[in-house]
Amino acid sequence: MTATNLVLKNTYRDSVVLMRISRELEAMEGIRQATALMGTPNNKRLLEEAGLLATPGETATPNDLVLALQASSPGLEAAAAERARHLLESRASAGTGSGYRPRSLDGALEALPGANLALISVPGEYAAREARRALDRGLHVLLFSDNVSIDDEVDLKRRAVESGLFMLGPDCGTAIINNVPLGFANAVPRGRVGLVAASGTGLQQVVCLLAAAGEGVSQALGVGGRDLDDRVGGAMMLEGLSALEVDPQTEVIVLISKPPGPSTEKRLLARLETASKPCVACFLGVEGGETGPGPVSVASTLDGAAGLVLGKLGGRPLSSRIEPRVQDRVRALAGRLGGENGRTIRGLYSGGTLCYEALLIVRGLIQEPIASNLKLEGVPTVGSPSGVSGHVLIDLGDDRFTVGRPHPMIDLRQRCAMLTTEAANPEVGVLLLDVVLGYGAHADPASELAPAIEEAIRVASEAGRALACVAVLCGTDGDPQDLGKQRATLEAAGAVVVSSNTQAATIASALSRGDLGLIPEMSS
Amino acid sequence: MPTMNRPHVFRVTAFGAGLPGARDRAADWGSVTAVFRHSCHVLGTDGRVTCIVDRRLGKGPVNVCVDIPEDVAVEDLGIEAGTPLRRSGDDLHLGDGIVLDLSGGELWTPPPIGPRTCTTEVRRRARTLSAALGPSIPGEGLAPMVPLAEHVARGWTAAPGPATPVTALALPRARDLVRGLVSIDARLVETSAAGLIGLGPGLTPSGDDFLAGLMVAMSADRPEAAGCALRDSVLRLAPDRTTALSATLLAHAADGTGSESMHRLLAALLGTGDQPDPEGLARLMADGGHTSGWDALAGLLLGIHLALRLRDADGGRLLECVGTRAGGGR
Repeated sequence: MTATNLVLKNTYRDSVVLMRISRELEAMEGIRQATALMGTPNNKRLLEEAGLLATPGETATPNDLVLALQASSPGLEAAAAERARHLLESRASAGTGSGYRPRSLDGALEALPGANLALISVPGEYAAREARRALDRGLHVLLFSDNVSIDDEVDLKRRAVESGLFMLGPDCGTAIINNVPLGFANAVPRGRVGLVAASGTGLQQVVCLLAAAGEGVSQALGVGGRDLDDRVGGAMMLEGLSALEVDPQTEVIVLISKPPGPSTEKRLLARLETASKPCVACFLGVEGGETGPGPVSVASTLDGAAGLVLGKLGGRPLSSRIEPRVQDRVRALAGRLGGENGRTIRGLYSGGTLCYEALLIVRGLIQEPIASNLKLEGVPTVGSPSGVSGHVLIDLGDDRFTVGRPHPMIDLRQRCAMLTTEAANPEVGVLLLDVVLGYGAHADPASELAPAIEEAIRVASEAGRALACVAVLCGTDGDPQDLGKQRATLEAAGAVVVSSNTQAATIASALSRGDLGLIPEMSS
Repeated sequence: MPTMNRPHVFRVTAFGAGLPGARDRAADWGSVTAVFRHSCHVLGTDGRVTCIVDRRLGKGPVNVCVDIPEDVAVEDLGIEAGTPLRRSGDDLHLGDGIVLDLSGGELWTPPPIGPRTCTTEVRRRARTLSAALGPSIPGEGLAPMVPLAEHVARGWTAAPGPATPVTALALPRARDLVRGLVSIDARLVETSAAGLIGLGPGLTPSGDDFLAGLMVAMSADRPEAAGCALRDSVLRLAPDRTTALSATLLAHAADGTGSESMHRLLAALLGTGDQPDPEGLARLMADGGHTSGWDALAGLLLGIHLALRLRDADGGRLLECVGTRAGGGR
């Protein structure tokens, strides 16, 4: 096996671009290693030690870019080098060559004059101005970016309402509009349920549960996690509700959020009383639990919301029973977690709302101290599970974990490393995690998580401990990752896999407490 | 959108210390070597690099911060590699289409830190910061050395092992560098610095960002000791061993000047009184570049802990001696 070097004289590329090119090359079949470095003496030595330095690279100077790769056959090296050159050149000429890629809003509108929605994903400091420009041009906006000030959000949404436009976000990661998925979204059938959510993974969980029961989505609008803050006042949730009321395909409307601000909650509930269609409001953790079957029902869990929707539609009930083979697996694990075995829970979530819901459920069921990086009254705040005693549930999508790296629904490396670390903690008996499928998410999350789960179980086993891993798999049969394959891979690694986050958190709690009676399906 | 026929004028809001000297020179100032979305790099005829940046990217010693209109990105201005930069009075001309108006721009230099807090408090803040950053430290470049800073500075060997090929090479060199600085061994300082310069990924390789953070932190702690052996070695070695941009930034770091975010973090770690949260500032700093911010943060924390160690040893005299011995040895 030999190395191939491509040297580009006096060439400078953004390091994020270089990293992406390296990864793209490494994903090619037969490519064992690929890297891009400036041709400094120390980097040439680094390449040499890795077996990646070839003659062209030896002559590179510090201001030259060296693309180095190693393949299982010379033919593949040549193809990869050609691919690398193409990637570099296409990125260098983007926007100026024949394959025109607009780099500004005006350029995009010129290329697609009929567009009526702008999806904006730029660094936070530029996001508000881009959104204003889009609104000024009469476009609805889906603002994926975060780190936008609350003042900007209030202003943007005021402008949108005044103009009769949607301002979805900031920090809006999910929408399905006219069956087109935007951001992180699942492949769901077109149907009769319309959703507005200030919660990305909350929305994904509900549409996946509905899809499993055969129900589809008319429209699903993410509005950004702060929309129900009293300063924003639910501006876009109210607009979304009004839009769904007049949408002929929508028969039932679902609103999803963490607890709204007090005045916003009153405003929303008052508005719901006048809604012209049956509604389900899912405000996670709001006292009172599920109510129904009147025109407006309130749910406190995502699972509960899906169930209420199905009830209103009179269709198939929620298929929330835990399969017998999964029950058997849970019983077996419960038996092994007895005695002196550690029993604390470590929740490592990629979805903030799923983590929040799990926090509420686990706290309610185990009645023991629990900590998190999410803010919840009575729950101590911790930055990470490391060194913390007791149950800990962490949202890895929090800003502190995503600085300089992709979202954990895309990049699983950090979570995989944490699984192994936490498995080594003798206190820990249960790992709880979410695996979110769909467009925008990792192409094959189970392929990365499964080895980490196996390793975690092995680490615990070598220390004489049992370790349970419980995962909620949030996806649909239509998702590009192949739901069945993901489930099988995770189960083969030793995980208990369910499709409802409520179930996953309940199973984790039951295993931790050693009381399977906490699981409704297993209580008799 | 600016065109070649109608020059578009952009206002410069601030520029780093690298610019005024260049302004004294004749018309031909250099040419563009790289264009990115929010910045472009200009290689001067003296071999130094200046970065023309959207002002939102922040101030720095080589940055010319430009008030870019909302609907314009730098890469959309028609600038390309080879575009000349010329000076004319208070204006800089980028090709024929872009004028940068320097008249209202202010010279940025790092603000003084002011009264310093005690060493115990600095150590506490640095340790708290490392612990807080722990779970979010990426496994690339020299970022994995962030939690090892105090171990390396104190010469402890019980630190966790290196996590990447780059840290596997860099860690022993950083340990040697510390030994060289502590034992006043200019030769060891030079060989270890040579092993770090130009090492790792990025247009500013990780080892350079690390050294820059280290030098700026040590200089902030003891400004009078800025002319140490490390400074001399870096100034001598960098031009041949790393990229032109990196060599330029290292030269400024050797004089104690880093990015605005770096100096804000140093003030929060070293200053007295009501300081902003170091963790938030560190995250802002780490957000710069793919790994550059983290690499510099690793060097900065090493510099803080090393300065503390040297102070513990004999009231700081060692640090000054390093400079004296190194200067006389050549």
